[in-house]
Amino acid sequence: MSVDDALLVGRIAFVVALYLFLILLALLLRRELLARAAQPGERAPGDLLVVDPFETGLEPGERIPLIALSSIGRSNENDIVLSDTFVSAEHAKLHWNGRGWVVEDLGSTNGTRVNGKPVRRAMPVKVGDTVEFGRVKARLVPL
Amino acid sequence: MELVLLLLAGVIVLSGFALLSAVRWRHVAPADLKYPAVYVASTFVLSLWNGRFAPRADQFILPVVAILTGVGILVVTRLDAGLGHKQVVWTLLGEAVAGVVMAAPRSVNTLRLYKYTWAFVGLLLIVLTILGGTDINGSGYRRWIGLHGVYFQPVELLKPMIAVFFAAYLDEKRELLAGAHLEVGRLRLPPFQYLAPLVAVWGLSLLLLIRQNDLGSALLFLGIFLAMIYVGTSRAVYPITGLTMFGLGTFVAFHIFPHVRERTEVWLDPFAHNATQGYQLVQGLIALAVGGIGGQGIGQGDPSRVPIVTTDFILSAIGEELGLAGIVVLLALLLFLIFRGLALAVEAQDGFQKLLAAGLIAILAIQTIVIVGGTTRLMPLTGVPLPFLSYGGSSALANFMIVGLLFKISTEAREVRL
Repeated sequence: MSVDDALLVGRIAFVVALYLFLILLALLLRRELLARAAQPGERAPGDLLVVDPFETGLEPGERIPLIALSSIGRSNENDIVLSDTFVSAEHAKLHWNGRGWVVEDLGSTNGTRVNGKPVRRAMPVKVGDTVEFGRVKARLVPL
Repeated sequence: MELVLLLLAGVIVLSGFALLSAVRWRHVAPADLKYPAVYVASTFVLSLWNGRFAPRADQFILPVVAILTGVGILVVTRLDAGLGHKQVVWTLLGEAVAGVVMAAPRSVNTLRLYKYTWAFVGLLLIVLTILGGTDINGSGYRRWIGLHGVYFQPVELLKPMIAVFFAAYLDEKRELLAGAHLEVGRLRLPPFQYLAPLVAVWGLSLLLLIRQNDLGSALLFLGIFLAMIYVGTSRAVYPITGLTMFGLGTFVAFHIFPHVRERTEVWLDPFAHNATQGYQLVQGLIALAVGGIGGQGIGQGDPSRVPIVTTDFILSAIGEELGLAGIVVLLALLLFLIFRGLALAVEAQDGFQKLLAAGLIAILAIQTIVIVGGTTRLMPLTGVPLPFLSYGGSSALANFMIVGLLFKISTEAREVRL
């Protein structure tokens, strides 16, 4: 490769490198902004849409706003209180990790299910999935 | 993360210099990399320094500023190696200023206590320049102050000072300006008695325009003020009134002062004035056209035909050598910085800091619009530096002062939340 060829490649590579730098910045910024929402207590990008409320006093179709780390259960200490006899005092945790949702069962008596499948370990939940806490049924929806 | 980004920025800047050296000598001369290596090293020092004093400060501002400044030094060096070396020295001084601002133990809010001092010192500098300044480039206007052979432009330092003053003033009077009304018949007007500074600034900007023929700075100060008052009150009536007043002022100036008229005519038809006042603009446009989409390659164009190419017309040199592709990516990086700054304004917990961040960012944004618009003939040409890219010592100091203040604001915003 002659010097002139090398210069041509170098000059194109220089501008391309500037673009790559910009793209990298944008990707990192996006990651940081999403991760920022993962601090407990901050509003997370989703709601629970009530499907079957049973005794909770909620209405079907009602939206429950979610924070980045929402605790769910019958006791008043929880972020989301579901006062149904089939829901344990500390029933489950719903967590936004910056990219997606994760549900965790906290050893509840009647269990937590995602699309009918029981939650044993922490497992991911997608937008549109149905989540059941005991017999109370809700769907995860975007904001 | 900041260090990784800085490393990449450093590699890109250094390879740009290596390329420039290879174009000139047909091989890479290590001596050509000495100054840029010092500059790149200094960005790491600043980052480590910030990490020590404020580990939670924003991680994006410094890498963006570092790459913009680096490309700026590269282009200036290509145009005039001596100026490039001087720019490295100014940049190091600027980084030192940013480091000191960053490490200052007191809160940013300390600045607001001295708001009238800043306004007074800033205006005093301008008056001193008009009375006792030097006209170093034969423009016919005294815009520099010289000390032992080193010249600086006080108007650059006035920019951040005025932003501090406006932020402090507006934060105090915000309720009054946003809420109260002056009833005149059926019209509900804003309380103009609290707007004495608006009128003062409007007057000052026109004074700068007429006395110093510095339309760029005039537009800039008015723009900062209107942007900040709008951010502070969310009332559109202020920017609309301000711009109308400025429009009226320039209309009158157009009819009274020949140099304002001349400038407008050059803008409308530069090619008709190619032999005289339009020469610079025409050469700048030709440089952009020669560059095309991909550019001629760094060191391979001939941008030194454009007068004042290292400062006001740096965009033409970038366009000729890096092409439209290069201009777009550098403007996108500036836009990234501006968005980041606005996000900081939203994040800040304190009214004064919010307004200050918005004002400081407005300084960078308006300068970019004014000079990019001017060199591409979107609006009449007025000389202001392109932030971080143009050659200019005072401008580099002022810009790094702005960067330091933004760092400080971001640190405080995050400390409060945690």
